[in-house]
Amino acid sequence: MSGNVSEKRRVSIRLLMLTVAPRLAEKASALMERAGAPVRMQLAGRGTASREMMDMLGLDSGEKTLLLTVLHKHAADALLVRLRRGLKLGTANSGVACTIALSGGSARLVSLAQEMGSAQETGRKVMMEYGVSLVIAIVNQGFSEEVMAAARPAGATGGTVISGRRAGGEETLQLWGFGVQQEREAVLILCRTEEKAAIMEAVRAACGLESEAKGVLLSLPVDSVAGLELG
Amino acid sequence: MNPKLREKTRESLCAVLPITLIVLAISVMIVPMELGPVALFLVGAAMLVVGMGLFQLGAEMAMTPLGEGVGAQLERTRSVVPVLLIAFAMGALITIAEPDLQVLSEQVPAIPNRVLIFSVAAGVGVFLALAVLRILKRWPLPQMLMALYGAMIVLSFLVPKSFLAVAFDAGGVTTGPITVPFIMALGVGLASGRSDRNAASDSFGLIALSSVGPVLAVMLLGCFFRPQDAQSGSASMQQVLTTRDVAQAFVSGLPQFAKEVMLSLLPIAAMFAAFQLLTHRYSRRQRLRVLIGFGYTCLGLVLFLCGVNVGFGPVGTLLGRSLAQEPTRWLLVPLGMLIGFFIVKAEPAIQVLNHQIQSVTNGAVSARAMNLCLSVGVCISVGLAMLRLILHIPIAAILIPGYLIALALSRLVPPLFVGIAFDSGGVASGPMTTAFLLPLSIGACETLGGNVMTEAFGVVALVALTPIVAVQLMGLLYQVRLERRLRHARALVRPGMDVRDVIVELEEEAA
Repeated sequence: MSGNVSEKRRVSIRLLMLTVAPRLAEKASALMERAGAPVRMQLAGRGTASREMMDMLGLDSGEKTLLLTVLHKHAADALLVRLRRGLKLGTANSGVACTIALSGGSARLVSLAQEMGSAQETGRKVMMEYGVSLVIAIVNQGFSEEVMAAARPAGATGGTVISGRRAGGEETLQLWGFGVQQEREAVLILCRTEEKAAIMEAVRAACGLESEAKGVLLSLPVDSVAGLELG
Repeated sequence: MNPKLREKTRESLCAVLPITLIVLAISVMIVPMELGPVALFLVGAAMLVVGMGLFQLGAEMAMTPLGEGVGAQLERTRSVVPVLLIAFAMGALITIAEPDLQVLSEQVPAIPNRVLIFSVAAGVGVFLALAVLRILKRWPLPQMLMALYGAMIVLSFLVPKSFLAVAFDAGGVTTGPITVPFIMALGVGLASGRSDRNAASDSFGLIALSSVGPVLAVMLLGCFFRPQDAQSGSASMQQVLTTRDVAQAFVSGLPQFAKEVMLSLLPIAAMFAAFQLLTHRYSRRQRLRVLIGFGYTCLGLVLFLCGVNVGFGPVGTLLGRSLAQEPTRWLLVPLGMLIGFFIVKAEPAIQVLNHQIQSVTNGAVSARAMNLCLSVGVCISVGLAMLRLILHIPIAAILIPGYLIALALSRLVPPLFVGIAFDSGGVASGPMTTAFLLPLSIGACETLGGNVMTEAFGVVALVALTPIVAVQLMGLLYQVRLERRLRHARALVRPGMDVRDVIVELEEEAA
């Protein structure tokens, strides 16, 4: 097919991101499959310690599984409700889910999501009495605890850490014939939109580019959430 | 109850309870036992549950971050020589301290203990260095395994027959519960900074290669020393009658195991100190966590080893001896298989391996699938071992075709599974195998009038072999399933749906 030009469509597609304890991952994945989510991706992450003492003793719940999927808005909202009920999101050590609006995608993916979504009845929107944002702090390996320590006084209640590495860029060391990249950690924090700025500022002050953590921050608007306990 | 604590408790109960109940059931229904050994066994099982939980927690907190850290740092080192030297030193040091190796050296009196220990340690060191070099140079694992295991098979024809079983056992024995979590994590660390597609599958294979070293080393020694016969450390059984005897048996065992465990953790702790001084990788909080983790590992292993050696060993011997008697002789095979199926879950390093696999593959290979696979594998291997005792089949007749099958499969299976499979072989044979399955087959062998050295031994080698085949078969199954999934995904596309591969820009619908 020659001359593929991108097209515009008026349709609300959501990225649904679920963070759960690994023991619930399989059930969550099954719920997503039943909801007709066309693609699912799984990532390994870990929760941030809430209590230092328990963390020291190794008794803080460590591992988390992140599940990502793309759905039509209606299907995504309906799935959030089902996830909250099925996984008891919001209770201790279960998990949290949120949806984020997407602004573009491959036609095939969008069509699949659209098709699944049209089957859903509308109006099952998860009610939220406040706006929620997703703050992402990307810092050097080992600094996620510092990020949380800075974010907590500003209103953050918890976070999820994903390990990764820097990609591309000139600092790539070409050793052994393949790129060796600096290890980085992404800390994901869901928070009230009104507290977002304060949290980002607090993390920047403690772990910003001037610090050893070399952190960068960004935030995304969240459409709806399930299982988030904000004081 | 704290969720983490609950999870760990559940995990270790799931690991230890089934095997405990099965042995109890056998002792009630088929082989009546005196209460003394049974009391030892039950106390041992309780120690196993606690020890297992603490060990898992400790490995997670200390061994894993340390191994990953060292691995990630090694990869950043610019020249080959120091990397190889460090890998060699690590492999050798960890092995010298491995308690199982001390036991092995006692069993082969023809070779001076020191010579045996140092050559096995050198074997592990050389092969760990080779394995690290493999990851760095991106040599394909299947071909390397083919070459090394091939050499091992060829060499096995030159070794005195009486010596073969012990040589193969050495490979399974040396990769014990301390070595495994550390070396596994080292592999993950080595691959963590890589940006190429093979990074995940390359994090495996270190243990597979490291367990070839000891086998080759012991075989070479066998060619030199030409030992006429090796000796089994025959299990001396104390009379246990009163509750005080039970307590005494464990209390007198504890200091010895405490010493062994401390000795084997020492090199790793020293490595941690040196590594932290050189790189300052860990924050204050992480350092403390690692230290507490070392404490857990140490305490957990002491309890575990004491429980399994004092509590499980005598029952294993008794069970073997009585089952091998005439009317129940053939029951050895099915009962052995039953025990094998459940015993592998109680191997301390297995859960660490399964968790590691689950997280590296992002759940594509789940801990549950691995558990099932290993259970089936060890079930078959114990069955074969018992059959071998009854029919007096030489070990080579099973091992050599077995390894040939394993190597042939490695050409067909996705490389990720090859690494996992050969690693799990080394991991499956840990203290539970040496302290329970080995006495069981020694006991059975004595009653059946076989040669303990050539027939009872080799059970460890078999336990190390079958998981390799089983996990690779799972890999084949996985591939088939994946293809079916893809077909299923394609079927979702209905006729008339827009299937062009173009980018769509989205705008929000009106609310």
